[in-house]
Amino acid sequence: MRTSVLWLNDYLEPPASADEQAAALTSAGLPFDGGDTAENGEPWQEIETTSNRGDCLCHVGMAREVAAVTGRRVREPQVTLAPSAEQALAFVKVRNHEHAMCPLYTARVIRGVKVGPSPEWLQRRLVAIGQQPRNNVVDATNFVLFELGQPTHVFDLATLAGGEIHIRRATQDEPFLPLGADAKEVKLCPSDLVIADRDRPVALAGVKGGAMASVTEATTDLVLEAATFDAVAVRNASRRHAIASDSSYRFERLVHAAEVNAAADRLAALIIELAGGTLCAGVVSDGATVPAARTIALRPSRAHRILGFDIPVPRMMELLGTLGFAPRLATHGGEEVIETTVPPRRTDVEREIDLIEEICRLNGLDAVPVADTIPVRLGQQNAVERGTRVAKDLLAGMGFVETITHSLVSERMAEPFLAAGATLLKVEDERAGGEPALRPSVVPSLLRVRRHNEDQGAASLRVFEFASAFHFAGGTHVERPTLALVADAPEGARDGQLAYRLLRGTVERLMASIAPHVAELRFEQSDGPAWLSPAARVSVGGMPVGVIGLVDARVLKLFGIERPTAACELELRGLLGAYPPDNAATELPAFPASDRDISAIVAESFAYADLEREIRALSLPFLESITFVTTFRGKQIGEGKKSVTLRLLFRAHDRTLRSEEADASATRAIATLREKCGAEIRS
Amino acid sequence: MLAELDSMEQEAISELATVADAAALEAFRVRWLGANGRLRAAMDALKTVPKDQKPAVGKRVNEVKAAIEGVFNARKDAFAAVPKGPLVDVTEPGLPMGEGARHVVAKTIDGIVEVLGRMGFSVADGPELEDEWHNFNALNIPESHPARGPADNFFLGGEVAGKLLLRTQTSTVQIRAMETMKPPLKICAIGRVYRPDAHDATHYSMFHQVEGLYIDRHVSMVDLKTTLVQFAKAFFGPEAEVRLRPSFFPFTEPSAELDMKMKIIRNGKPEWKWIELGGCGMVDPNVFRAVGIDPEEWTGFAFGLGIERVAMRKYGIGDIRLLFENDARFLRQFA
Repeated sequence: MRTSVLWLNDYLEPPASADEQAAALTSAGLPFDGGDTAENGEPWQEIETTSNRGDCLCHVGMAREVAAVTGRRVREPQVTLAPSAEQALAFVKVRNHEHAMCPLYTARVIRGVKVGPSPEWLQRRLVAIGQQPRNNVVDATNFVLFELGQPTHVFDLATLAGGEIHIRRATQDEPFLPLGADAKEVKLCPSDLVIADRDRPVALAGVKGGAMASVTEATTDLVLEAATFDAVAVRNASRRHAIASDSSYRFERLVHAAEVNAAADRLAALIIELAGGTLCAGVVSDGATVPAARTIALRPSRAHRILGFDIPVPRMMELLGTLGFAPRLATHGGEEVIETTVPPRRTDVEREIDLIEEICRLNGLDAVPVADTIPVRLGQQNAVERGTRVAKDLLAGMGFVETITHSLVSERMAEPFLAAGATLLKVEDERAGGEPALRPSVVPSLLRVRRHNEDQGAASLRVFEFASAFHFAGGTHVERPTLALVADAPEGARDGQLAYRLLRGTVERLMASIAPHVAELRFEQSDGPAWLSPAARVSVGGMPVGVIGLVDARVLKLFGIERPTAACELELRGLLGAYPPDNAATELPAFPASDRDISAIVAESFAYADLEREIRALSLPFLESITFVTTFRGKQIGEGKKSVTLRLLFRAHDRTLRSEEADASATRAIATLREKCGAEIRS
Repeated sequence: MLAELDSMEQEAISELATVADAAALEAFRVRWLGANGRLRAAMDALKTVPKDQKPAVGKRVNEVKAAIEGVFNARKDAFAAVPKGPLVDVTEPGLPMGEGARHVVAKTIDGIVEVLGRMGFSVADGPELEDEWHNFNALNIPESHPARGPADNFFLGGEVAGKLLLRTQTSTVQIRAMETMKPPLKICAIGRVYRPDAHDATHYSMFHQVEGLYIDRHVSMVDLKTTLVQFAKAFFGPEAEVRLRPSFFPFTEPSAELDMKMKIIRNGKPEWKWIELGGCGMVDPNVFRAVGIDPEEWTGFAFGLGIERVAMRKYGIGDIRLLFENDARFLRQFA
């Protein structure tokens, strides 16, 4: 809230400088957020308030805080009223139909006012906080609002049909024209609370007055409204109709019914001082019973336990007293406690812990001591977190850049990645800026990153991200923590096979780190997902962990990527949950191995895995491993064919193998490749 | 003769000191140690020395020879240390060894988790897609609270409308941890949170928070402040300081804003400055009640920090959008 330094000092004894005010309010939890001088040269300061301190949205409220922190005295405004013999009830009748939405409604009547400009002192105060002075009656309501925090409203009595005031719900599509030069008529609904005369709404309760019954130069008799409204009802109406006002802002932060009459009297006195007229006797009101002031007990032992250090009981009582609490000592169950009533305006103070906070706050957080040590009980390491960190470092070491991309993407980007039978989860908010879909995979985000970097001149890129993917399927929402990887072939190469092998090698190396004890890592050709073509399912020890392949050409086109690009999506939580793996050392072989390379020219229809499988099926003696060396295609080999080179490694565990033994096995392998795969062997 | 030998020794050794390369050393060898060198000449001259002086002069000649050869050999070894292998231009740049990099935000998270881990906080996590119970109710944010409006939250539509939202804070993980684990409890939670802010240099609708929660029988504000001070010094350096300012959060009471004095980069230069990093406070009794923990038996503190804010200030990053654009050139600066 914008505060005037001079206005605040109207209530402080002795006055405080701007800096003192700012420092005191900041230390009380109402931080200073800049200041300047208004067009009339008076200094103002912006003071932030938290949503629980509606009582501080006014100068008297701020003055109480400055006083409590600095030891000053608060001078509350004094009011004297001399009502006439005429009864207010003779002019206005109030019927409150909605006590839950309007706990208290009061009306006072002032007759014979002369509407005109405000005196200079009042205009100065308003201008200092950026308010535009209008006339003495409207300015008086504004002044009371910024002085005491109570929004009020003034109607022209002559315009109130039937002299009736009804607090009621609006009817469906009931029209209402708010006050204001460029205001437009709105259509209300039954969730809206209105102040109405006999015929029509004259105000949207707590939010805005209507143009119809507003005060004009010609007005002589006034009805002063002071009321309190339900915070949620006001907020909803304000949002629904996009009308925010200083009144709605305060009602949304709770104005207590017990504060209403004091503010209304202050307004009446001020109007009579500024515009003349006489106050009719009586207050016409309708509402629920005003709840009695709360009493709360505070155990000093509890305060000590929460705070961890001692604040003497007299000091606690003194601090509460400075804020208008009325603390006294009492005994509860043999324990000495501080019992205190709570000023009604402090709607935020309901419990013992709230009093402890008040004491802690006013005593100052700088006064909380710092110990030399902290007690530590060593908790469990989180395996997933630790394993994830190792995986990330490993990937970065292998040349991958870690990205963090937004979880929301456009539907167009998301849809190709949706599995059959699943639907997209979307946020409602239009502020998602055309990107309302919770991504069903992190891969589209990485493809976008790939494209962005290509636009910036990056020839090739490998990226990864650990993040959740989302979808809706089988009647429930699914959030999957995934690792997504995208890579293209190294610079210069335009070969999809190379991009795939690079990414697959990355996955193999990663698995060797996080799950070396799980024997089998498999990559098996599969028909899906649709966004990969070709695609392979990745499994570890028979458990599926994800998919890998080349991104489908149509998807690449969607992202404007021309280079063959490999992508992989893994769900590693199960494996990472067992991190670190239980590694057992294996003795190294004692005798040398012999290797034999075989280059087999086969039709393209044979996959590398087919050749390897055929050789393995022979259960060749002394065969230790089969590794892939290379695949070659070219004119010498012929159309539709390729030359695949495999390396067979032979070893005996108890002696050095003889050359003839390795040769014999290799010969059998060659024979089987010829027979089963129609291979022609190059030598 | 003896005096001659002394000056010869001096002359040879000082000449050796000026030898700059292998060629000069070879010239020295020829001149002094060669078949027609000066040492040979000195030995030949021995024949003309009177018999009675022969033993002394002979001994001296040998000493001088040994001294010169000693220094000569040391020089020779020194020149030999320069490799004579294939021609290598040591000024050529190294081969690029991988272009990988960890994201600056993730690295910041790792650093924070590492320090918190040393302080006994275990990492806990929870879903980003949350229900209103964990994001609001259990955190003492009632239905009527303004923070529950659509302006502050990404609520989901469609089949799950009214049930789910993208979490606005990692405090949800506090609730999940308290629901499943019994105190004493000391956890930290790190992750993405979402708020529908328009994107500009300081706002992004997704960012990261780290949250700490410590519950035991005698946890107090003193423990909270001590923990934060120790964290600050361990993470930012011994000069770091902590300042608390009273504030309001529904899930803590008393509540405070958390400022840390940290080394930041401004206009490319490091300086120590107070930065608002987050909030903290003592766990509100209502939160304990919501998860079935007796607030009379247990007390606790919680704190939350904005990760992007730490990273941006620490590295002098002026625009939050740079963090999520993922330009590899930008990210590699922190690799």
